[in-house]
Amino acid sequence: MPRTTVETSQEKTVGPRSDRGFAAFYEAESPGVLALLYSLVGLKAVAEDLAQEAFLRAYRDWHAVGEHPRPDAWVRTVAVNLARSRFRRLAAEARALTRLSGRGGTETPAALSEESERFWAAVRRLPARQAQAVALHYADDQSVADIARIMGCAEGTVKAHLHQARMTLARHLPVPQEGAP
Amino acid sequence: MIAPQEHVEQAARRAGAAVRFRARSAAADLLGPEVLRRRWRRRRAGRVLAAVGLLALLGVPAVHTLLDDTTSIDFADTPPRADVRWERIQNRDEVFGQAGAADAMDGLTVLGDRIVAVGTASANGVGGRVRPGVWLADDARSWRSVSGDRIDDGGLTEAALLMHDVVALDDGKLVAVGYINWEPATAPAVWISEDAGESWTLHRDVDLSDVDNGEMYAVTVAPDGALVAVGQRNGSDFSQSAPTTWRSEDAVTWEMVDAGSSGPGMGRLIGVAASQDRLVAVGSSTEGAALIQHSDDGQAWQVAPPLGRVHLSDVLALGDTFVAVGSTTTQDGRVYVSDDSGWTWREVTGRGERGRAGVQDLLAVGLAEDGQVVVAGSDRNRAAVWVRDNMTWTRVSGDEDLWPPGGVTALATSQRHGLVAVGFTPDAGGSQDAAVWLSPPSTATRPKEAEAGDPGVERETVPLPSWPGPGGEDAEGGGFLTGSRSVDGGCVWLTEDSTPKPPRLAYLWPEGFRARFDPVELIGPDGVVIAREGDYIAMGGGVHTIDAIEINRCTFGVNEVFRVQVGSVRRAEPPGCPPPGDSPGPPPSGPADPTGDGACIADPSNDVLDPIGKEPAPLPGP
Repeated sequence: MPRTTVETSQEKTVGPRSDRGFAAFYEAESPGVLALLYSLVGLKAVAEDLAQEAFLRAYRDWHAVGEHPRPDAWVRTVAVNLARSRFRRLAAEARALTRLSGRGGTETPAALSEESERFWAAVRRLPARQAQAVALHYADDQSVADIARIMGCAEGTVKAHLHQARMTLARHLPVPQEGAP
Repeated sequence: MIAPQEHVEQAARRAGAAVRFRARSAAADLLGPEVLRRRWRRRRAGRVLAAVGLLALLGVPAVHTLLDDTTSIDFADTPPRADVRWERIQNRDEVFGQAGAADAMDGLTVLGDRIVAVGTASANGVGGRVRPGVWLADDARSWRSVSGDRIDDGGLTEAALLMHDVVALDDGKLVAVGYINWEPATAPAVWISEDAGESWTLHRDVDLSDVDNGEMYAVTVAPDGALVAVGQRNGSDFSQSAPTTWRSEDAVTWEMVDAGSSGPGMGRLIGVAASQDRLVAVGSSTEGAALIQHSDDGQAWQVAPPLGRVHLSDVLALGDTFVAVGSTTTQDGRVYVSDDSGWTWREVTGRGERGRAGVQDLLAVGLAEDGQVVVAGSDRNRAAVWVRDNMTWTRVSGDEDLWPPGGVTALATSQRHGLVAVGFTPDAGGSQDAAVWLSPPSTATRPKEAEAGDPGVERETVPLPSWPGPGGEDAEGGGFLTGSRSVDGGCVWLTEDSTPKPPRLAYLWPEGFRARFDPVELIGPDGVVIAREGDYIAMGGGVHTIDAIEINRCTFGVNEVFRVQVGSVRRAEPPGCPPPGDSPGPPPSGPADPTGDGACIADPSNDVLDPIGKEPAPLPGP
């Protein structure tokens, strides 16, 4: 598809051909993307920043994204990659990890229950692809087929990631004793 | 009792519903599509600013019509600095990481002429486990990665191994620290190289006391020569983490240092630096507040007063001065300075950065070859470096090729190579590559430069910090020339008397002044030696409070900084001369002493007039 040239007062550059449909797309998808990013990065401010960056990229390429068969999947792929970059950074770089994860103490999504907080904290300690699969499935309520599309892998791989993730989480999430409050 | 798998499924569904519920309400707080459109337009306009600048250089009129309300994009409230030369070292997949593989540099040190970076690399490329990564450069523009089979992983093929920081020892050893991650269990890890980084052995003899998990993030050499590492310890459920310091005499066995009841509470330490007699470690608490500890030897630590909600990332030692950087919980960069070895701290962020919330991660602090403090990290998710410029931290300019998405995580200065920055940048495969930037040394400071008028003597010269401009109140006085090579290349001061640790009077020199060391020689802009160690220099200029000037390697241990305008020089006292009076003051002007070996300072005839500098300040009266 030829890229559309937009002419403004003084410049020529590539940009959205039309904003039509973007607002509706944004309104429809932003809660899910935000939930996905909340669960992956655990920090409200960072999640919102990444969500806005993902939608900014969608807007930048809206001439193509708007005609994508699944723009919702497209923006989630971008969001996951942004979070993954962040996640890798968290995993790979202690300074970022330390500072950012330190923010989590009071700045994760407000008023999540202790159990939910503990669950997502454990998810973020999973290998990145497993964490993505879990977040897409449980936080963003995506089907296995859609997760496979977003993550760019086979459905069987998604199922394997989910299985491995559940096994790991089962080892690290305390099971309440019967009769416990 | 419910089966663990079933419990996970139920917990996952509850947690998912909870986060969706919160996201729905929070989505309303996001910038709406119209704001995103405006932001996109501003970002797009930013990309044409370079072209605009070129047009301006070419004299095309009415360029300002493009610079309406978009001129403050992309990153700074102040215009980027274009006169600070930086280059990005070309990314080669075989060195900095294949597309899709997670590579990143996080620690940096200099061993002789060799630059050593450590971090993480993916074993077997894309999808491989995270392994320790080591990169070496004997020429700052030519990097190579150390083969994974030469970095001991202890056979832990199922765990991720991460290197975070590295330090070079006087005996040529390199010591890197990091941790092993079994997801979620972690254990501190230490690697030692005795062949300048070509191969590394893993050591895990690290005391964790009564907890199960721990991670090391930074390492340095304490004033007494021991190694000190900082990090955190975690209980088995990871719900609590404790800032932790370790000490080692041999880099193999590490003893945990108990912070005791006066410890800083929960959190972690992620940066540490040592001066000649003090250690400072920085980090943040689990509540997001800055943590600063300081110590003489790494065995007993004191906790500095709280600074507020700032996640400190790195700390730099400049003599008795320490500079710490970090970001607020809303990603607003902050810079703090302590002039008393960590006991008290003040913010020197500057007006330009305050209120720019949500754009900066300050991750590293270093020292440029001209002695100026440089801070680095990311700015709106792009790698960025800032220099101090007239009371403002100003971002170094550059397009996205130079400063791509990503971040700078560590800085180090090499006399030969200049200032080196390392970090990470996203790669084409959705993961990240290691990244290196270089600010090469200026020609004026290359080593072994021969001085005009001093043939036959080829000794390294270093530029001296100069004053930032007019201002300050009148100052009078003077002192004896002294200096130190040990402070990051060299500093020259005036000192009041000859006590063992004389108070230093002046730090900022006229523009273009340089020095040689052993013994100290002060060299003017024209290359002529003006004074030698022990000479008495009368001083004009002004006096500044420390927060009114650029922080540099030589401005430590004082609250006020004199700017020197050399008025007259008297040669050093020959043996047997009495010390100067209680109030030395500026010597009266007198005839030059061409021999330089004259009588005592009290003899006015021993003065040597050297009106140096473009506008020497009038000397105060006798």
